[in-house]
Amino acid sequence: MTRVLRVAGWLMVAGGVVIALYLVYSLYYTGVATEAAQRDLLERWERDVGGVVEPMAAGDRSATTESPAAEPSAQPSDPPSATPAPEPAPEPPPAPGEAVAVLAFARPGDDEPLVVPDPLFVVEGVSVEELKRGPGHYTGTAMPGQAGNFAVAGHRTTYGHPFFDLDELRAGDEVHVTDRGGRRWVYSVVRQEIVDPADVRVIAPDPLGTGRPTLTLTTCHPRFSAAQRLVFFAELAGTVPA
Amino acid sequence: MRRAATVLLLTVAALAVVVLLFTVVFPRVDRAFVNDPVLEQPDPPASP
Repeated sequence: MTRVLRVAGWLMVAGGVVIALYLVYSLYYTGVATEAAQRDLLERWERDVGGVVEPMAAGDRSATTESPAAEPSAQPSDPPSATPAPEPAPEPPPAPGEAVAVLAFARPGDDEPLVVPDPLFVVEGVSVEELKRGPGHYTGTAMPGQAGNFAVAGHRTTYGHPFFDLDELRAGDEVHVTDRGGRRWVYSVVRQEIVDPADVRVIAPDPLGTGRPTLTLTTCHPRFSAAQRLVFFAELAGTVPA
Repeated sequence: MRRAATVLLLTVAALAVVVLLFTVVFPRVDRAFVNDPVLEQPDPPASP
């Protein structure tokens, strides 16, 4: 009986150690590599693109140029004065793991950091290795500012947990996306959904059915579970002049 | 001498277990049950 208790005690100690190690892995270890990758992406971005635009202050909202781009009411028979969509010149997509864009979040009228304190570098691709470097762009979806859906996935826990506080977003909040051409696109959050992991409808080209350029952000839900996905939709609201 | 060898052996074994946990076990557990932000895509969607 004593022997059984001793073995059981050691097994519980071992289990406790494994759980403690998992917490170290989850809360610290994975973030170290992601921080290094984000620093590396920042250096490359500064070299290739020329700096990262900070999130727009609340008072700068007036600087935004409204995008009449793909108004739902726009019909083929509309007069030719209708402004065309702000299509950036097509560029070849970067290699997997390379930076596609920079994400920043802002709430009009509030200067407090939203979701993340610093801009996030989005890399091309959503494989395990790519998401270790930061949020990933679903390959095949639109690029920032283009017609279609610019879809991005990010970890909610581990690997720097870039989308840990994504649920702070509310309708009307802004997502600022700077592309590799240095153009800065402002998307306005429309709504959130919680969906099954296989619900790829949310990264379809026009998930809101409005015909406007869309941004979709996906992360796991609830925190520390892969049972569902938390999804935010935002529509292109305009651009910020350089 | 024998005790020192035993301690060394146990230390090496413990380190090997930790490395195995951090490189193989935890990432798989994490991806399968805890942390997968990506939608399960049958095929990559095409941009219009």
